[in-house]
Amino acid sequence: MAEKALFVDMEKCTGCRLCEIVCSLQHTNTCNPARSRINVMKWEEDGINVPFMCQQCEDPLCAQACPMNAIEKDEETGVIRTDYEKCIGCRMCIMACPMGGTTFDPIEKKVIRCDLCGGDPLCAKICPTGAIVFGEVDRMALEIKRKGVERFFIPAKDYGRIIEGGN
Amino acid sequence: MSEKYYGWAGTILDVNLSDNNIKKIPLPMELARKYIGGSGLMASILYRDVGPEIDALSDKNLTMIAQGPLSGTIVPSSGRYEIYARSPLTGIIGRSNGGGFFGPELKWAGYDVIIVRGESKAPVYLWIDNEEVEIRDAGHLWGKDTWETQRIIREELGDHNIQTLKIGPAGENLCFNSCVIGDLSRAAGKNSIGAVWGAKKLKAIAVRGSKGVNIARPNDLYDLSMKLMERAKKDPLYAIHTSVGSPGWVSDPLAKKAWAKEERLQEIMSDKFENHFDKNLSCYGCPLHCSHWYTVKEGKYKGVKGEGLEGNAVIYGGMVEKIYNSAFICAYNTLCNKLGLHIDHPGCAISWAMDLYENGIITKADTDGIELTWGNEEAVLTLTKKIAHREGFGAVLDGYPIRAAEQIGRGSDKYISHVKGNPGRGPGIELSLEWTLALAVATRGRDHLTGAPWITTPGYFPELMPQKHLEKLGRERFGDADAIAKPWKVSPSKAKYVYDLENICSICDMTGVCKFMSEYTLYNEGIHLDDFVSLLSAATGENFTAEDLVEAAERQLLTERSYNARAGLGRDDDYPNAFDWEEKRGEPHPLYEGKLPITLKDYDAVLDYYYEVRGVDKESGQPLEEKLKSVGLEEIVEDLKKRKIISKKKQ
Repeated sequence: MAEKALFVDMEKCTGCRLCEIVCSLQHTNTCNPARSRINVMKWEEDGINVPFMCQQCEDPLCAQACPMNAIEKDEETGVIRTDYEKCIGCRMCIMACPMGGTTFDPIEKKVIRCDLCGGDPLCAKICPTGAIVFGEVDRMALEIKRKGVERFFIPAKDYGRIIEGGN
Repeated sequence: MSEKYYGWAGTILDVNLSDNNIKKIPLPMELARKYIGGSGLMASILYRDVGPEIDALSDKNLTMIAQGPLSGTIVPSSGRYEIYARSPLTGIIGRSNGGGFFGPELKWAGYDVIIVRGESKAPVYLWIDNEEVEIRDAGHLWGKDTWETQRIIREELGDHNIQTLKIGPAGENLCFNSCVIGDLSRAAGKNSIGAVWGAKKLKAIAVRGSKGVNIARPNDLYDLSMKLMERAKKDPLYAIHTSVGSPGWVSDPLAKKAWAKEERLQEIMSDKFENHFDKNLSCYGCPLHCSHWYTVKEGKYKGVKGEGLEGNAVIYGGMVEKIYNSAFICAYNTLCNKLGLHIDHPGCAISWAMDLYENGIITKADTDGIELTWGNEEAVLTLTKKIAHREGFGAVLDGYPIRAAEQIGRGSDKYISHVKGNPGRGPGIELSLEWTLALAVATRGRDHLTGAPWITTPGYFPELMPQKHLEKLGRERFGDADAIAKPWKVSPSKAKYVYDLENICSICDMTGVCKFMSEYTLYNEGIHLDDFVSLLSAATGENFTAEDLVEAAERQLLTERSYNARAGLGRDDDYPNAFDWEEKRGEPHPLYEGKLPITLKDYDAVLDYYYEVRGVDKESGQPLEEKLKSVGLEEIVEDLKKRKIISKKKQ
């Protein structure tokens, strides 16, 4: 099976935070963005919103930083998992990730990161504008490449409309 | 997050700024069930604690902020907050509603309602960090605009995810035009509650919550919410919300309908904002994303940025002053948000003054030397700032409508338009009989958001809502094909139509859901009464019925009507001033001359029908004893009896 991943288009994100709420509902049965694996980062005075979550790195620094070898990338699903039996709660993984992919659940007091909802991520499903897409990595990369080329080399094209039409 | 509460947070926060006493009161479940939350709970508390003898700007008035049991959940568009106080502007019920992210954050911090009593000697702000509640010095924030205030609070508390409500200079200066601003532009605009905060020296409330909200039946709430989001897409209005937002369904059709002859209006139709709009933005949890990030890219207003440009900004920052410049409207919108001004008010007051100037009632001698000609952009910006600082002629205009007209005299009251002291200038009462009625009977004064229909106004959206469809809706809902389709037909179904819209608006305000997502504007496919029943039951685990929700809405609205009755209001106050003008003065009202196809007698008749369905005495305009008792408001009956106000049904 081709590897799939979550892709974010910050231009499309309206900042509504439905992704956070559905994530917390899925994982905790409560509505609480503080327990969400995805977070929308905002720069309100510039109108910027960026949803961000664990990128499921091929060579995860969080796993390297873990003193207990509790973090592993699942070969089959591509998801980076924490073995909570081994985890001692040192939070080194939070510090090691250069992108802030790991967060902390303040209620259960444990590190948390995206698990792709077992293969059908609800954040992508609920996103009203298609700002979060769960797609095959190689195809998405080409799609993004096409967008980039269109933006910089074919200025006459309205790339936004083309991408939307393709969804 | 207390384990026993689902949907509700479970705590009322009661803060007294006079003695710094902070109390946390568990939310009694019987109150939660009876009043639901938001506006329902606060109307009841305001009635109990702030009588008609209390000066709105004194330490005895209180201000409250609440969200509802659906706030901060997965329910679409559940991001509203509601604020209450006795209004300094009108002296009656003061309430307003805003969006953004403050309401949900308050829920996640664990509070359903914040009550702020007393007054501080020096400026303060309230900092709520889950259980920790602190009253902090705001000396360094006083005088700052709303954007700076949020920025400084986040910086000094070291957390970018803090959400804030705050006042700008307008509230500090006890301005009647002032409001409370959430985020950058999420105004709770009506009824001058910013001035109540200013009098209390309360600059801001900052909140951060990580406790979340329990959901009784998470899977059901998820399924229902996803279904409602999907269904809403089928509504004819959905695409207007998601593309241009309220300018597309407020100012565009109003321009076509009310001022069709003015060609320059084309310059401020929603498509003319395309150059300024960079991307869509939304409030919490909202698939409609009706807001935009805008930046003005060239010309005089180059560099202006902001968000949340609503149809009313186009009306009050453009249409009423005859300014046909979309870049100016962006500038006006951002200015009002930063100063903490209700976007409608300066536009009302300044356009009124322009009317007076044109008619020679006032001159440059009155206006601090400002040339108040129609379309004068510079004059509008200067006066808007003067209003916020209550300087010179700005201080006079701040008193619009009644106080300003009294101060100027010279027949200037001929040109004001208001209901119960709450101003208006834009189109409204001349659109249809249901508009007239809804604007006039609204408990907080002239009000376009608590029962006035938009989408279903005949001729408003001739393509999306053709006459045949309106007839069908009328038949389905009221058994009367004319109820909606014939704009000026006096009938009981007209009154029932307004009554239903008022109830659904009240249910939105009690639960914390945006009216734009409800059947109020998505009349076909929005969240309907039955959906609210399912959502509330799934979120809270309590079994609500449609009757329960309608009764709760009646309870809120009758509590507010009783509040106003206690302040001396009655039937006479349920008229738009244009209607009885002619009768009283023997001359037509200059603003509505020839625009009203019905007479005072027709309006009297439909008001009678409305009173019948709302449970109000036709003679006095006060709630009937039997009706109040039937919705469990015995305490109000006792209070009104003591004050010799209550009415028994005439046999």
